[in-house]
Amino acid sequence: MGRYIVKRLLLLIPILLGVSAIIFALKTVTPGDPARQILGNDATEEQVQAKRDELGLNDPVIVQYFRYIAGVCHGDFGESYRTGEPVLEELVPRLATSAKITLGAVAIGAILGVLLGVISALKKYTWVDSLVLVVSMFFQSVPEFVVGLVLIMIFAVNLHWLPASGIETWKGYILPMLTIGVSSIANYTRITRSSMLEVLGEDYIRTARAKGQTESKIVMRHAMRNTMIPVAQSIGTHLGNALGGGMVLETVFSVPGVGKYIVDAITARNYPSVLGGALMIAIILVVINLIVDISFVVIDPRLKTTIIAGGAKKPKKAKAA
Amino acid sequence: MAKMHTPAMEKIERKNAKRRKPKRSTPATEAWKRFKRNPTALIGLIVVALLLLIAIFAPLIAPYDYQVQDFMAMSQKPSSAHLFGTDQLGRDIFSRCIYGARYSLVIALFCTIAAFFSGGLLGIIAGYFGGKVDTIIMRIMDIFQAIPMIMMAMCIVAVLGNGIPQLVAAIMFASMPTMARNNRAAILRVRGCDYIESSEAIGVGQVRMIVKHMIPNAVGVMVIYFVGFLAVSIMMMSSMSYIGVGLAAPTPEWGLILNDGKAYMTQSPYMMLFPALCIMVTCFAFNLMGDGLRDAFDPKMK
Amino acid sequence: MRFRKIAAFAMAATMMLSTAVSTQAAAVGANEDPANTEKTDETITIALASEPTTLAPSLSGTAANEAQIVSSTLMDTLVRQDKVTNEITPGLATAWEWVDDTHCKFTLRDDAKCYNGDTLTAEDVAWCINDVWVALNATNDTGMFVAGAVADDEHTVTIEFNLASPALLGMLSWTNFHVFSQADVEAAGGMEQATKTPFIGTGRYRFVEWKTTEYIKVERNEDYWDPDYAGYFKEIVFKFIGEPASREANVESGDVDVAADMPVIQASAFAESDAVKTVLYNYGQNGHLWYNMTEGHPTADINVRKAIDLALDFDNIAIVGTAGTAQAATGYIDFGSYYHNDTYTPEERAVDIDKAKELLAEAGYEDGLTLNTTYLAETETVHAVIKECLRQIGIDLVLNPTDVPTFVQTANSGDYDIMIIGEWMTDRIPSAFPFIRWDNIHGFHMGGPQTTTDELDGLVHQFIEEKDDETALGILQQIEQIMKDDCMVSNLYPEVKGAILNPDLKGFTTLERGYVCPYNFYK
Repeated sequence: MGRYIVKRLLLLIPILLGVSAIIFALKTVTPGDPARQILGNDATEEQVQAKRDELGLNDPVIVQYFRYIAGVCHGDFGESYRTGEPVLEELVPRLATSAKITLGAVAIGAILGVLLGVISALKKYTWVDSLVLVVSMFFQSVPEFVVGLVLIMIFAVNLHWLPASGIETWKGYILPMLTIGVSSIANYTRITRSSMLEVLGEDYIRTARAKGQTESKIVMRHAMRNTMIPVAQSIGTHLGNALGGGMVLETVFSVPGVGKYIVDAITARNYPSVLGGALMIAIILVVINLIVDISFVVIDPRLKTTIIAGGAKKPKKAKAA
Repeated sequence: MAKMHTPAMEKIERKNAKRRKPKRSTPATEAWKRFKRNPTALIGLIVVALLLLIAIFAPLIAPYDYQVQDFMAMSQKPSSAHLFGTDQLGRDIFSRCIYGARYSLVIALFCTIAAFFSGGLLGIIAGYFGGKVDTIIMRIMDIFQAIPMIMMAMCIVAVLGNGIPQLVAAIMFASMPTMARNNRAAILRVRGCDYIESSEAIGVGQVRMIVKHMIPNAVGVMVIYFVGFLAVSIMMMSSMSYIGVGLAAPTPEWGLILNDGKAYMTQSPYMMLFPALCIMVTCFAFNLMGDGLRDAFDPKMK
Repeated sequence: MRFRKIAAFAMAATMMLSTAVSTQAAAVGANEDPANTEKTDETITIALASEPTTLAPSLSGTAANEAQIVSSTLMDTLVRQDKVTNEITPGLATAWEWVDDTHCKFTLRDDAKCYNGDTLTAEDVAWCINDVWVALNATNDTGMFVAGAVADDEHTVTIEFNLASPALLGMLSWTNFHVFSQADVEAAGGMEQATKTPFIGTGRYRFVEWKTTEYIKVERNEDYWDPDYAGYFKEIVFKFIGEPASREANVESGDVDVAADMPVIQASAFAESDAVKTVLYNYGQNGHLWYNMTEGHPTADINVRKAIDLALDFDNIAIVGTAGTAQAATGYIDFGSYYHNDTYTPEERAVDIDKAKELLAEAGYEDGLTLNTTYLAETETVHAVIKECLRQIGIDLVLNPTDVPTFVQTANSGDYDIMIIGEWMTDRIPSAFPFIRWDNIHGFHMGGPQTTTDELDGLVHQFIEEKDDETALGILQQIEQIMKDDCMVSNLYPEVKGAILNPDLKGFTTLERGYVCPYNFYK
């Protein structure tokens, strides 16, 4: 187990190298001079050149790249062009903000989604089933920012219950969480439903039924546990997606999270911040996936062989029963 | 390769081919039978067909030219003259939405095809060849996957500028890893099947194997991804318009019309409502269809 | 007693009358009388379009809108300028006297207290001018025209300018010409730190806190030297909300009192709303469509330029550009300015598609041509109208909405055919006509036509330096005539800014260049 975790964490290195290489490559071909951006419109060409020298932008890209990598190895993610503050210091509080919203959103999405999924599995092929499908798919079919704007119109502009933007109080978190949450309901519903149906067809459920257990007990005690495995799996991906996809919604709600940080940094050609933000997200994604995989082993020790022994690489065994 | 084409092999194949013909029960026909019985999926299909008709006959349906500005009729509420009202430049929103079907659907289609030809192909190659090829491709995809889609798309637009080809490229790059992963999984499922193992045993050629055996059998799953991705790319386009890295005006792309309208959302909600409805209905139809296809191609899931 | 009341009423009436008559205040609600005479414990929240990068622009060597709005609460200028009459009034200096063409002697007031409580002295002002304005701002307005300063005694300081121009005094009222003491800057942690924690200045408010990405907070300076200024709000909080629709929604939801810098056509949508108060105001800047006249651009051909000028429907462009609050420009300078000339007659402004097509054909483009323009995304609507106008004569205008860095780079590299850039000139300013001055043309960030003549360049310098206003007006007429004959620029419309306010809020005033003034509001 320990060796497995170390191995997975080592995989982070090529990913981080790759991510920073891609962004470095994009940076070199993007028009717009960061030095000009820092100095403002009035600076002379000489000043801009001097600033470029100071930032090392006149060095070959390869040199810049390795200088950056060397810095990151020492925990130095560079300084924001915009504020001059260390990127890492700026990122940490923003990551915390984004993490809060993401976790809340995933919780909302997962709880509602699983609930609807279970209902829909138990009432399969009835109008309830279809209704659940339609409702959950409705939220999947509206762009998240539209949901966000509509919620702002209702709860902030018309009812004055919640703030339209910002997160000065806890109230500010509600709308972003809700927005990201509802758009993922469909995903959870679908997974829960199919997984539940599959589980309900298993022998041990039939045994339980034969023993005369009530249906609710069967669902709650026996079926739920096994149904949750694919759900948990998708929570991992959803966490990652929500964190990365927060960019649009953090802009809608003016939330000072990591997504908005990156969006602002890209527009301002603030490359240290773009790079720092991207690397942080990459690290978190990899760690989340690792945690999810490990937690499977904890939930269901049988999966140890497939996950840890790299069973996924032997596709011939992956055939469905 | 050469050893696969012994006369004996060809004979077996020809025989197989003959034997298959009369049955006519391919996975596709089976799926279609199941799809037909699914009412929600059929609704999705009908709506998509309608949208396609609207897109094709847009000039006949739209009462106004989508780019003509009428300064005597700025920001008007929906009326019989302007079904969806007019925007801040007096353009007829209904006509813009109708033409929007053309732009949005076609761009979404291009995005999806591009994504399939880049990420999808990589995934198929990785899935089929396995081993080192698989590892290398998938490790590269891991790297791309670690960059959030919108961020990737924004960076690409920052490099290439605004425009339809640029937008397609941005969405293509951004969706490459997901596409690769999905298609690889689809191929792997097929690869594990007995008939592939047996054809491998009798030495069928690699290209032939991919084209003749694996793709037709994996195609169901791929179609699901394809349809699903149409919805995803329409949504992505609109998100990009929202952040300001989408297409340039006055292209009547739904996301852009929506973005124009968002500025007036509290005073004139209809400006945002109608393009949002277009996006919603389209994505809804694609999602319903995709869901139906999933059930049709993969009855075990139901 | 009774007499005083009547007198006050009469005065108020005259003031209202004068405001109404002045063309400057023609746009809705700008520069109301700041009857800010009461102190309360309330807080006002102002939503800016973006977060400033510095709170002491001159210390950072830049001049930036948002930074100047915030810093205007913390620091004072030597003189002030009435935004309606352009009259120069005392600020930190109570009197001034021109020693010769380039030297002006300022007498400082003796009761302006710096952040640390010390009285602001002539030494402090001289330090600020020499070590901050001149030393750090050589390339922007703040340092470009000032050579240095000497403290004559404790209360008088003489400033030396690089050029002779009557416009220099008005320039000193701009918020980037703030004055503060060296002791304050050092106590605040040095120049760089003071741009982030500006515990400096003699201003109406004192810096409290800057929480990056969230807010900037300042609180009332209870020891402010100006007895006529009360400071209605105890605290001013600045928030940063990039999305205009969201800025507006925040006012409607009651989270924010002022949404600054609203795109005008967007702001005008709320003119009839009861939930918010809309202010649309003209600030003395005309928008201009510049043609790139360098080799290799179709617009180098005067016939193409004239064709475009004829195809543009200036009335409709003005309707969209100003949300119907102003008519199309008839000259280079804004209607409200003393220097406004009616360079174009209404007939010359009329659309003539046939003539335009003829001119295009003469230039060899009878089959149409493609041009490109780059602009900031917030001016999308006006560009959509221009694109539509040009479509009528077979010109396909490729629109490239972009962000500030790319915009600046495009302008500098000349990688555009046409480009809209406004010039702010309520009064004569030392930096007038940057686009057609040899000393500015290649270095200037905004691009402009990137070409000029010695004749134009000479006239611009004469215009800036001329002592007599009427003669200056004559020189300006010559400049405008040359630009018109050569069709170097199409004058579009007086640019209008928008702001959305809490309906209870009064006292909307502006700083220079139409920046929202954050400290004159009251309820």
